Amino acid sequence: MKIFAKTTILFVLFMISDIIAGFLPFPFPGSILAMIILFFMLLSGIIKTKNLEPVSDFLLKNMPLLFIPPTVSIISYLDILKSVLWQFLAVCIISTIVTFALTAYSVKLTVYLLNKKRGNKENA
Amino acid sequence: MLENITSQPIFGFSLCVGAYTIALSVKRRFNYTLLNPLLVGALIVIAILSVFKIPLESFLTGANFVSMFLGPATAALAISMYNQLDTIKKNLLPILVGSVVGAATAVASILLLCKMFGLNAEMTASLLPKSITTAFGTELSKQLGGIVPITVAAISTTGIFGAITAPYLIKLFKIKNPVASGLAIGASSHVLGTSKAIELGEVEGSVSSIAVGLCGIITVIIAIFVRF
Repeated sequence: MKIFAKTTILFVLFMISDIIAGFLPFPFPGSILAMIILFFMLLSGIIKTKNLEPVSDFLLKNMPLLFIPPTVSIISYLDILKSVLWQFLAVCIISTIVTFALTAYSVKLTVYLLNKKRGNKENA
Repeated sequence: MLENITSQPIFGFSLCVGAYTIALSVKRRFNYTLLNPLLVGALIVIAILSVFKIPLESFLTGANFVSMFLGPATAALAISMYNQLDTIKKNLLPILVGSVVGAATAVASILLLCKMFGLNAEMTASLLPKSITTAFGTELSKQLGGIVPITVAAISTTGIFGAITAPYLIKLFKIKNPVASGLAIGASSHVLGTSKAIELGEVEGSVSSIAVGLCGIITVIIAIFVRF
């Protein structure tokens, strides 16, 4: 019984968020709005994680299953993909390396500045 | 005879779940990044469809029931973020800076590369969400007018590349701080990268999963303002 109640809570929460997203003045995916709303509901204690587990756990653990249908659909787009294959691979590889490097260095710099600030306070 | 079975929704649904089950046991037996359950599961389905000459539409009639759970599953990601609350509080500023820089760098580099390579608007829209997790990426691709299956392929390629190369990139760029490497992995190669980050260490893993959620949200917000 509880499984059904928990499933309903999660699904209704998603549906309401999806409706709200439709009223926003800019395009925003309903499922991501649902995640943000749920995060704040958890923070404020309106919903507790135990109200949604183990349904949420099951869905999170099996996310790859949910993406099998769109992945299989690639067979309808093979011609398009083949026509831009090297560009496709180059974008994936180059942007991953650039994003990795800049993110890591920005965090390194932030941590360095924070430590310096802390050090100054201790010396003063 | 075969068509009578394959045209029913239960066929596509069972094939999808069955292929995933096989893919999971393959992953359990040989723990190798390339053998991720999504890739192996999809390949099994594609093989069966082509061997028995079953049209893609027949498969999708049933398989689309599986996709229905994507919305609620994405919402549930809030729980994994919430479970990391202590780590977030402890490293608030580095996490925020890293996620904003990560999301912005990913979007900017993809737009620039697509322009350099002369890719059209549809292809650019399909590639733009490639660094964020599939749950966010497919939604964003739809919203921008991209081809969702191409987006999924780009996200998987990025994730597998990121997960395999992460330890080498950490050495190459001389990253010693675990918070920095965790954020870099999560921002550049989403959930697939995070699976590698968890192997590298506890801090790396949890910071990486936070970066996946935050970078996803920030990318969706940036995309509101992007025109191409």
